[in-house]
Amino acid sequence: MGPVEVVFLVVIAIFGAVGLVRGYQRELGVTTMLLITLFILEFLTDGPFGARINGFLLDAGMTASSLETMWAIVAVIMILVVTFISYQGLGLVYPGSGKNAFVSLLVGLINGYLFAGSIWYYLAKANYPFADVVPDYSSFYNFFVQILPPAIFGWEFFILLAVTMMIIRVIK
Amino acid sequence: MNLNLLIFLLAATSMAVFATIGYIQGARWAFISLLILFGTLLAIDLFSDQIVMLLNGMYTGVMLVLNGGLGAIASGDFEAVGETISTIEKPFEGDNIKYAYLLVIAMAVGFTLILAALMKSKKGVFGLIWGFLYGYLLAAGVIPLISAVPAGVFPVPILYPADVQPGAVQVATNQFWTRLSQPETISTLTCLIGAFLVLFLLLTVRRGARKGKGNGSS
Repeated sequence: MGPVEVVFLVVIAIFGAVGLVRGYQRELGVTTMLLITLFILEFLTDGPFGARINGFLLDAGMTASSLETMWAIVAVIMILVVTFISYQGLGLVYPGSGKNAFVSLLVGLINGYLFAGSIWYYLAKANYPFADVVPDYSSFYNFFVQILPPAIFGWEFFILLAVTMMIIRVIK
Repeated sequence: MNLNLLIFLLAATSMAVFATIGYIQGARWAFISLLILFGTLLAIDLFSDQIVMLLNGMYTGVMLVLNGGLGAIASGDFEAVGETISTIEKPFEGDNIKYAYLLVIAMAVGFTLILAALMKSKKGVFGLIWGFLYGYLLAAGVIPLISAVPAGVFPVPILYPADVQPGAVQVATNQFWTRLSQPETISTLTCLIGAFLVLFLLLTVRRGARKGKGNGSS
């Protein structure tokens, strides 16, 4: 088995390639959906509402580690479902004419960072449930795991950015 | 992080970036830029001593002027000129020689990027291929100079770094990531990533909305 960070970096690179092919207009729609998903997840896990849910579940006899595992499963399933719908289903498309390969690549990489980075964060937080990932991690891993989207931004950032993007989209 | 993977990622990034630029700018720019970069790397390989001497000489000349050397020359006081020159430290000596090479490569890359703003030909797959080679050549030339990675890692080892102690490469790489993992660096990175995401996404949306409006679509 290779280092776990390679898997996530490859996923980010694949999202970049997908963005290049699809164009930034479609990719921005996926970005918005991912930002909203991360807002919901962060609000549920770290926000004031999340503290109440955690308190309730801990009182009900759940252990702290199984609580983290539960949140990791919920987060991964939610991110996967939303991303699948955004790419395969009827998605939000932003206006814009022509193709700009560089911008499309960057937006694709941002989507990859939001998608793979968030899954990585929740799995790492739960100590990689159901996966054979064991320490000791590399110094690059220890660095990168600190700059994953949910690790550095709160729910306020995600919702503010998503709402602002949608407001700017409709302003004439 | 595995050193080979790090080298691979750096080289792949360089190739991807210049392949994209080559594709956008066209084959003519990409080919000319590739020739310029290759010529620069070859010149560094063949005339490394002369290049370092030239850059040191230019620096010494500028510092001499700034330290009032012109007045001393005009008055014929060559002893004072010699004294002033002896006090000026050469910037590219010993371990610093690699920075002279880096400076020359950076100038060549800068020149090719300025050319990109002036030249534009038809988009095409040849632009992508030449750009891809340009990125590879740049990585092959620069990575051994900015890290402890031996030049032989790449099949085109044009530039030769200082001798590397066994194991020093891995230690240097680990120290780099460990230094980046310091809390204050993470805070700075958080601000930078946040600012980039906000500015880039909002400007892209706004730009797209304006273009879409101009074309009559929503």
